[in-house]
Amino acid sequence: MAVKFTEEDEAFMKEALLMGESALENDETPVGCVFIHDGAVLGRGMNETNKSLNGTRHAELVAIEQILRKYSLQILKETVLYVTVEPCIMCASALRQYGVKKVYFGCHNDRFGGTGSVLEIHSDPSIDPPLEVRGGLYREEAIMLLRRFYVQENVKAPDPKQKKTRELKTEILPLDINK
Amino acid sequence: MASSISTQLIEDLDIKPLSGKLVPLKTKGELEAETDLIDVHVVAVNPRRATDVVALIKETFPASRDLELAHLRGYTKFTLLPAQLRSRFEALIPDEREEVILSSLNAHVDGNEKRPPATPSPPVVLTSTIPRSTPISAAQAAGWSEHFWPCVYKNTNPYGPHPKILSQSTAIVDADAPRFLALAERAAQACHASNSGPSVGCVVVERRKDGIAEVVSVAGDARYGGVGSANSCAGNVMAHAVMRAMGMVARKRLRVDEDVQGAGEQSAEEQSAYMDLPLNELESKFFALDNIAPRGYLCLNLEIYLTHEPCVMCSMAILHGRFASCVFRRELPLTGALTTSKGKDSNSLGYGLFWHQELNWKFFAWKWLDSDVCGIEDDGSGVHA
Repeated sequence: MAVKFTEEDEAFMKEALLMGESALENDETPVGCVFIHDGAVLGRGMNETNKSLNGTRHAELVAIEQILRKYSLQILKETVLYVTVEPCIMCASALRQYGVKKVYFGCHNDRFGGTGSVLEIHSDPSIDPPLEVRGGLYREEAIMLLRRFYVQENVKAPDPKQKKTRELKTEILPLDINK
Repeated sequence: MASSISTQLIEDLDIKPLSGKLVPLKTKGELEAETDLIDVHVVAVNPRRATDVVALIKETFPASRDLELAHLRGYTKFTLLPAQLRSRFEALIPDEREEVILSSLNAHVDGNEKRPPATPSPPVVLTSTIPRSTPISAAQAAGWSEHFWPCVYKNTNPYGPHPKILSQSTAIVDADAPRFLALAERAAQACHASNSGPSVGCVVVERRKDGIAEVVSVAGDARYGGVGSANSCAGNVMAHAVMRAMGMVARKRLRVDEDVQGAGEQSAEEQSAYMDLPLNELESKFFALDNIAPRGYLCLNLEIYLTHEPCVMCSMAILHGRFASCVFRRELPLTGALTTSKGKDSNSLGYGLFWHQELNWKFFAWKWLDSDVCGIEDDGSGVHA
């Protein structure tokens, strides 16, 4: 049986979820995160790909950019990340290269997930030390954020798909532990 | 001759194009298909009875229908067999007029099933190795025909880009790669000279409808931010050349689209940890040109030319940006994420990210092969590019 998440974990993930909410309000893919250092929030980030016209502006990198405005690179090695969705392959590699201490995520990312869903960038052979990762913290809340976004229409994507017929589903199946 | 806005800039730089050629990277699927060999039964029959025998085999061994072997000739003339198989048969049957049938039944499956009904003269059955997958080039089909079994090439590729489209893209990129790779080298040196990062650089190009290539951004690596660092330090990872070049493309889009649709608020023109503003004269010259088509989406269908194979982060960034094509010069087995490799025996990562079945975007990728391989130094084997 997996160890329960602590109250502190839950509190930090709630902060990340707030960033996700904020992304949703700004018509961005609702992914949010916070970097924790010495028990306090060091930096926050949310997805900004639409606003920036830059497909690499994911929450994790946005937060790191914010942190590096004030702190040196070394501090990232002492941070723990709480992010609502499993880091994508790009971010997983970035986090591992920066040497982030540990990552907690909410729901899996079946399309791009780099810490287990599609690839295992966190633990595969690499010149960088492995990245410790734990998922499933406030998973349902993270999924609901994404679902609320996907019933909207992404007008910027080429040839937008018709989403008018989409409805918001609220049922969330339990995680398949064999996966 | 029509030329792009950036053409004159490149000419002024007096860049010596590289000499070499493009080699398309193998996809993971292609690599696996190449070595996917199975054992099957081969039987010699009288030509007049061939159809009956095939029907009988299918009836007796239903499992044989599940095996997709459309790329191999079901039956073939003795004379068309590979030499090794021919001599094996010759040792067993004196009459070489008999035709030979490939039973599409996996030899291992066969072991558990009953033998076909006995015939007056027992058939000559051999076990032979054949490629399970469809050949993806005429050359491969010819090679397989010579070594395994007569096989047909259908000008398709289920494991990677369609051969026709790939050859068209190769022809387009091939004409520009020598100059753009040389320009990427120049960008790499410019940043390296100012202690910004290791000597890694890239060039992002938009292909106009008339086929003319427009250089929209040029970037070197800036992970050390001008203070330099030992190789052991990863530095500021998001200042890798690819990330910087993509950042400059995005900024250029915001600038160009500002008038068109009042797109996104222009972010402040000051250097951030993204390092996505020009760091030197070379980068500035290309960044200053308003030479990107308006209303574009991310890096959709752009091309990128790199001095080194991109790391996992940068390869995935290229994928997120929806580039059409990627060319790199130096392979980096320890950190590069574009090349493929098979199994754990290889010391390279082997992700083959440019053509990954589970990911929602695929792009063409080539490694540049210098004519003079000695001219290219083996640098940064342990560096992420």
